[in-house]
Amino acid sequence: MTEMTWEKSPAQEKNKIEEKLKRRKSERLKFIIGGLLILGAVGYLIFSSTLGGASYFKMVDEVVNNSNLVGQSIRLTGAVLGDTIEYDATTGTLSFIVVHIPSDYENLAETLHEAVTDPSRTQLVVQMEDTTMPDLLQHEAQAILTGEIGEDGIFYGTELNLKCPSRFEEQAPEQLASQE
Amino acid sequence: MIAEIGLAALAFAFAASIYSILVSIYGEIQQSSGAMISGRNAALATLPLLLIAMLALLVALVTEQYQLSYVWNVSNPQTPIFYRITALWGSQKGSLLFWCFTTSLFTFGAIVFNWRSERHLMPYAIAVMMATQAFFIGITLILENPFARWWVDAITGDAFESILIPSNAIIPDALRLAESAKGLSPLLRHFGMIIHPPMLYLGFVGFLVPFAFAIAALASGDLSTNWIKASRRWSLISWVFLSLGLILGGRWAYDVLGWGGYWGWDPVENAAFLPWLVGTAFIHSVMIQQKRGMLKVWNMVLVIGTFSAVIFGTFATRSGVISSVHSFARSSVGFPMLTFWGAMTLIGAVLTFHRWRRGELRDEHEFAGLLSREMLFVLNNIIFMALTIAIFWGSFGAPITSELFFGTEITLGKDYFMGVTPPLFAALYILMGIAPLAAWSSTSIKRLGKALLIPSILTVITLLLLMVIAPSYSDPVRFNLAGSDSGFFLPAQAVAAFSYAIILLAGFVAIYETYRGTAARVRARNESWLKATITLFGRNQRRYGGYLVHLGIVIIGIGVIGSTLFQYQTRRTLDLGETTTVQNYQLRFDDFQQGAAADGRFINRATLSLSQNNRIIATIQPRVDEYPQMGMMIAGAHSTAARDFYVLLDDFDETGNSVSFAIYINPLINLVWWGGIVLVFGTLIAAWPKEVLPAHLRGAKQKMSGTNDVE
Repeated sequence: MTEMTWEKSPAQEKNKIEEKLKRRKSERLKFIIGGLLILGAVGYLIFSSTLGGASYFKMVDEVVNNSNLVGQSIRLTGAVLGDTIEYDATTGTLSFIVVHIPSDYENLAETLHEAVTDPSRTQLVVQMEDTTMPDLLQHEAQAILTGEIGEDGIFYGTELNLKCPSRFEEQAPEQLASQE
Repeated sequence: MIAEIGLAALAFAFAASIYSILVSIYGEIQQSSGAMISGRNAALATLPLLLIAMLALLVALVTEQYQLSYVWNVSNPQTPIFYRITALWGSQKGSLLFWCFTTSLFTFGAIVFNWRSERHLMPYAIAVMMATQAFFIGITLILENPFARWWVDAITGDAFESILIPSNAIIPDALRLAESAKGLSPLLRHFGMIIHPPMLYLGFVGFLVPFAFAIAALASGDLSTNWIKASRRWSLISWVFLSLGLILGGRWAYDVLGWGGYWGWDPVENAAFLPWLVGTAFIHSVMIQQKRGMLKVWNMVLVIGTFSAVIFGTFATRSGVISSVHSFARSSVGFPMLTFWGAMTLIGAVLTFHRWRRGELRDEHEFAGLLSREMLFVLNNIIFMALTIAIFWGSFGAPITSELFFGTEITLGKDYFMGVTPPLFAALYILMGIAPLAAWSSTSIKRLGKALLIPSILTVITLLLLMVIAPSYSDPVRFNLAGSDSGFFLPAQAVAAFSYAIILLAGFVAIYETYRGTAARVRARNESWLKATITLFGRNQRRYGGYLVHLGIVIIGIGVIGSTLFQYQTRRTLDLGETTTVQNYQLRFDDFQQGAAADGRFINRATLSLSQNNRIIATIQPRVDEYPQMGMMIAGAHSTAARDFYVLLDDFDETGNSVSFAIYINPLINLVWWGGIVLVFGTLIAAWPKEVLPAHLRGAKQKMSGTNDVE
C-alpha cells in the first residue's frame, strides 16, 4: 500500500502541475488574445474617428484661390471686419468677412488691429446657416471657424468660436499716465 | 498697506513650504522625529498664511483699492458687492492665489487627519504636497502676482505695474483709477460660473492627497494598503467636487453661452474631464487592491495619471496656449507648468518602475476567470484609459503631432468625439451593469444571467413604456466609418433604444441590489423598510453609496441621450402679440422692454407666454444683456422633467415690435442636473466618516479597518 502511493504520487503530482501549467497557459493566452482584441478595437475606433473628424488648420491666405481645398474640412482663423456682418434672423443666415492674420504673433490684440486696418490683406467671405447671432461677433474679433470652402470661393462655416482679446487683456491704463 | 500684508503672507507661505519639504525629507532619512514634526508644523502654517493673503486680496476687492491692478482689472465702482467677492477667482492672478489656498486646505486636512495613523508615510507625503504648493505659490509670487500695483513715473508720467514700491514713482490719482477700472467679464456673472471654478479647483487640488500618499508609499517602500486607506476619503471628496465642477460648468454653458447645449468638446473642457476619467478608474481600481491585493501597478499608474491629468488640465487652462473660450489670457506660466507636469509625472513613473522591477508590486492573487469581478474591474480600467487617451488625442495629441511631423495643424472637431466616445461610454455602462453582480475569482454565465434576470425584465418593460410616450421627431444619427464619406445612418430611435437599454440595465441593477439587501434585512430581522434601508447604507456605505452614484450616472446618461438625440431646433420672427405654433406648444410674443440696470448693463427683455391646449403654462423671458464690452444672450426656459422649452432672444429692431427667437426643445435635459445631485448624495454616503455615524450603524469592528467594506 505504502509503496504504491510512494510510486504513484510523484507522477500524479507531476500530472497535476502540468495540467495546472497548461491551464494557466491557456488562461494567459485567453487574456492576451482578449487584450489584443480590445486594443485593436480601441485603436480602430480612434483611427477611424480621426479620419472622419480631422480638419486642416489653415490661414486665410492659404485658403483663398486654392482649388485643392474645395470641399475639404477646414479649420480657419481670421480677423472679423465689423462693417461686413450681416444677419437675417428669420432664416438664421449669417455672413461676414474675415481677413488674414499670421499664424505666429506676440500680441493677439495688436495683430487683429493691424489686420483690420490693413486694406491689402486677403479677405474671405464667410457664410453660416441656421445659427444665432453670436454674442462676441464684432469688429476686430478673432474668428475660429470650422467648415468647408465652396466652389464659389465662399467659406461655409458650421462652427464659430470668437475671441476678443483686447477686451479683457490687461493693459496699462492710458488715463492714468498723463497726470499733470 | 493691504498689498504689503498679502505679499508678506504669500512670501512667508512660500518659505514655509520650501522649509517643510527639506526638513521633512531630512527627518525621514535621518529618522529624526524632531525634524519630521518641524516639517509638519511648517506645512500646517501655510494654511493661515495663505488665508491671510487671500483675505488681504478680498479686503482690497471689497474696499475698492483700484491701485491693485488685479482689483482694477476685475471690478469697477458699479460692480455689486457679491461679484466683488467672487472676483477673487475671476481672473488668472486671483484664481491662482485661491488655488494655493484650496491646496493648503486639503494638505492641512490630510496632515491633521492622518498624522497619527500613517506617521511613517507622512514625511514624504508632506514633502510631495508642499512641493506642489511651493510651485503654485512661487508662480503666484513671481509670475502672476495679484498684489502688483499701478504707479506713475514721477518723471515721464507713464503708468506702470510694480509689486514693490518703486523709487521715484507716485500713486496714481484715485478717481482716475476708479473711472478707468474694467469690471468683471460679463460671462462670469452667473451662478454656475461663480461656483464652477471653486468646485473644479477643489476637485483638482484634492487629488494631490492620494498622489502624495502614493509617492510616499513608493519612496518609503511601505507598499501595503496604508496609502490607500489614508487617501481613499480624499479621493472621493475630490472626485465629487470635480464632478460637481463639470456639471456646473455645463449648466453655465447651457444658460449663458446661448447654443442650447452644455458640452462642446472644447479642449479646455476636455482637459478638465481627463482627470475625472482617470480618477474614476482609480477609485474603482483601488477597491480590488484593498480586497484582493491585486492591480497594484494599475493603481499606481492611475493615481499618478490622475494627478498628472490635473496638472496638465491646469496648464491647458491657464497657459493660454490652447485657444478656447475658457482660457485665461496668454500667460507666462505655461512653460513652468509644463515643466512641473513633466517632472511630477516622471518622478511617479520612475518610482513605480523601480518598485515593480524589484517585484514589490506583485499581485497577491492570480486572475482566475475572464468573468471574475477582478477581471471586469481591469476591463473597466482599460475602457476608462481608452477614453482618456482618445479624448487626449483628439484635443491635444493630434494637433501637436501633426504640427510637429507634418508641419500642418490637424484639429479634430465634434465629429471625432461623437464618433469615438459613444462606444466606449456604452462599454462602461455595460460594465456598470455586470461588474457589481460578478463574484470574485470567477462567475459562470448562468449565475450572472440569473442575477441579471429581474433587472433585464424591468429594463424591457421601461423601454416598451418609453416607446409609447417617446417623441416621434428626430434626425437619423450618422455613424462615421473610416473617412467622412463612408458613414451609415441609423434611426435615432434605434440608437436611443440600444443606449437606453444598457443605461437602464445598469440603473436597475443598482436599484435591485439595494432592494435585495434591504428585503433581506426586513425578512431576517423584522425591521421596518425605512430602518432596514438606513442600516444597510450605514453598514456598507461604500457598496450602497456606490450604487447611488451609479444611479446618478444612469440618470445623467438618460438625460444626455435624450437631449443629444432628440433636440428640436427652430427659429421664429414674431410681431408683438403674434402667436406661433412649435410642435404641440403655442408661443405668444407679449412684450418687449429695454432699460438700464444699476450695475451698468443695458437689458433687452422679451416676454412670451407658452401655452398647451389653449392653457397658458409658463411665461418665458429671454434677454440680451449689453455690457460695455459685449452683449450676452441669456436664455429663457420652461423646465419640466420631460423637457426644456428653451428660447433665445436672437435679434430685434429698434422698436421692439418685431423680434426673432431661436427656440430649442431639449428633452430630458434636466436629468443631467438632477443626476448630478444623486451622484453627490451617493458619494457623501460612501465617503462619510464611520466615526461620526451612530454606533448601531458602524457595523462590526473588523469593518472599521476599511478593508472589508467591499463585498
